[in-house]
Amino acid sequence: MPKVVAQRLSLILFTVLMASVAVFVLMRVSGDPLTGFLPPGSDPASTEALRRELGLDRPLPSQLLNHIGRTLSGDFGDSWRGRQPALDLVLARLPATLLLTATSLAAAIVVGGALGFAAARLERRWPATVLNAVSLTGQAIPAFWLGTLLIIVFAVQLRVLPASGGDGWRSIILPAAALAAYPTSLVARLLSAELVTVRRQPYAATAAAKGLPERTVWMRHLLPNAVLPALAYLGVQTGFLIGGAVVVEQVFAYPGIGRLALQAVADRDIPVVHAFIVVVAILVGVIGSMVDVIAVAIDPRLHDRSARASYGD
Amino acid sequence: MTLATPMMPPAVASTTAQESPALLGEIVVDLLSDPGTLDPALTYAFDGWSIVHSLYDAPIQFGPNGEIQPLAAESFTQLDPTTFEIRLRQGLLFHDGKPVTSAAVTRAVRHLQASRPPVSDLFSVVSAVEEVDATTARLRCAEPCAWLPAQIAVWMLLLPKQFDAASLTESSVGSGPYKLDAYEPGNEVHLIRNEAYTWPSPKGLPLAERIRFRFVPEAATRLSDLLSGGASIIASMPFEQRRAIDDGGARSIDAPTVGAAWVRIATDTAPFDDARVRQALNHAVDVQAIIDGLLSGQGTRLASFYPDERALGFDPSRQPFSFDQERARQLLSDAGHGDGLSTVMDIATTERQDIAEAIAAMLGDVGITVELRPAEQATFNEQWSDPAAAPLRFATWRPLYDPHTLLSLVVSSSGFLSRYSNPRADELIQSAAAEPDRTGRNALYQQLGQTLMDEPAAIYLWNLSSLYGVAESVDGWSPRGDEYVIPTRGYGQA
Repeated sequence: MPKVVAQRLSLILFTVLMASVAVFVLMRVSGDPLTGFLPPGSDPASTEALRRELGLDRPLPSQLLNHIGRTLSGDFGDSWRGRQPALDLVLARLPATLLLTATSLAAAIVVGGALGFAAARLERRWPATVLNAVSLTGQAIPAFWLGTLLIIVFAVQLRVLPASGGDGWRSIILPAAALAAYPTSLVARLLSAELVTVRRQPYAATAAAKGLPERTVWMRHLLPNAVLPALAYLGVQTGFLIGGAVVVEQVFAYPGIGRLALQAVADRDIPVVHAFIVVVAILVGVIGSMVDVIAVAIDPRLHDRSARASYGD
Repeated sequence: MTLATPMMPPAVASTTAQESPALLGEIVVDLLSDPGTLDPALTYAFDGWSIVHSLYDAPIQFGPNGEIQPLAAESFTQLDPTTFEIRLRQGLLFHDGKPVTSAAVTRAVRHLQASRPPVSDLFSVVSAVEEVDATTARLRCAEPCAWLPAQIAVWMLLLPKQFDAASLTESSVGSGPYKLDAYEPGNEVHLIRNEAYTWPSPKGLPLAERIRFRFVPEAATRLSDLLSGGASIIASMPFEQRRAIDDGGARSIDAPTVGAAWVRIATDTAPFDDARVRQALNHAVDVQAIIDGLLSGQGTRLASFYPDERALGFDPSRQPFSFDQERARQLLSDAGHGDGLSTVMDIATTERQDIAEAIAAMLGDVGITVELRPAEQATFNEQWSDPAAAPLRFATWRPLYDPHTLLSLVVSSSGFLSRYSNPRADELIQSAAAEPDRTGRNALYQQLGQTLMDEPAAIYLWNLSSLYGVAESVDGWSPRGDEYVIPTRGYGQA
């Protein structure tokens, strides 16, 4: 087990370093970092002085080493724009995004799970067709369009929820709904398809033949075997959800790290972009590992496979 | 040059305030983006300026007609070409209760000079600040700089005795109409009324007890905020939304801003080194059709960079280039390009691409094939003076009350953003920068306007406008030519 943990941590560290190098390369190949940061019209002499102050005059390998050093130490420097520690800016906004992402994930699990379960139970009947159509629609609608639609209905027409902002729990409902639409639909479709498949497995017929109540067959034999693909998907989806939050946060003016990152990229505020990418990479790595742990808890055979792989069997 | 306003004792002013229309409880203002800082020296766009100019006062400001009005200054005088005297109003207080003295002027200048380019560049011309007495300061400049007052109005906000980088954002203390209550980065800035701001300020008096500035990047969301009662004033709305604002039970207010749109022509490269080709470009674009078709009729075709009467150099009698395709073809033919030519136009992705496409199509009608090259804003800014970059670039510029910055950067042959060279233009720009008399400067810039028609530096397009949505409950707020959304009542009416 310690070896597995060490492997996991190494993988996360490697991912973080790669993401960090990617930030460095992308922000440099997209042009002179100072042009995005300074408004046009600066005296070249003052601009050069600032370049020296920020260490941008040093050779690229030296800058890259400094950049990696900052990644490892967690000291990303001050935001070029706001002159405050970049990591503090990201961490101050992180809880809002985590709350939004977690709410969306919870909605995807609960609503998507219920829809998928219902669609499988009602297989080949018309309600299942309707449920599948709803799921497909949820996947097809872009989050920004759905967000705007939700604002018009619930904020402008019904006036029951705020159109934008980050003022309390009521501000989370609409962006979370917009963000959750896609994963909810996909969870529903994956779960439904997998349930329909495992239902045809011999062990399902055996369980039914033993005289077990239908509810027990579904809940104790079919569901645990069908849930893994959806769970694996959600693990991967977490990264996309944080990415998707960038768009949704923009539409709903939600004060999360997505908007901060978007602004920082536009300004070429490299310390903030750097801190953002590293924090998100760590998050995705940690959440991916947590999903693996949950998957093993649901299906212990995975642990055996994982253990065998770890010990070279 | 002397600008002065009669001073009214605070007690009298207080009575005036009590008689003014009722103070509102709270106003929510939707701006576009979080400035990320409330440091006046690091604020570069109207969102940030709206907030910092609500918190701080500069010695002077631009009035509704483009005139420079004394604000925290009782008088603002140019003693000689290199010396400005600022005599502050008596009795002004910072939000912490401490008096505003001439030392605040020194601190403001020092802070700007120690900041970052281009702001630090602008104020590097001030070689010394002399505190004559408790409320009088003199700015000594290294060279004649008649353009400095326009920069003072934007940047030189009076700073308290103690401040640092963090406190400027987290606990700003100014002397403006509102005090900082809280700044939630990325979300909101909360202000509360400055009870001491009862003197007859030309900035206007506070409209409400509390202000919440929110940052809402999407126009559709700002509109929803207004229509759902979540916001009282929304800024920077597309003109297509005017009807939605009015039909939704709010008021739309449009106002020309002191800014201009143009397509810069690089004259350091053939065939644009030939003035006839540049004149042909101006004749080829049906600017009025674009204004009518794509800008909801907002704007007037310009003869040069000067947007309207509020801008120095604007000459109402000067006729812009006519839309005349035959003339354009003739000029091209005279210049040896009767068979047409091909070129490239850069445009930032933040600007409207459909406008650039319309301009390109119109140029195509007279035989000038234009390839559009959209670029992300930072990349676009990087290429202003790059001789290898596209000869044409669509740009907007604001504010232009005083055109010195634009002209010295974009038109002057030594400008950091320039690809234009014209000794006559250089001479006029330099003379205007040193001319202390405003009427004299205006005349010099008007002469430059003629030069810029004879030897165009750009395709001159239209003056810019802004659209705001305002809730019915908000009465007395008026937009400003510099686009700052300052929640006061009675702007310019001191």
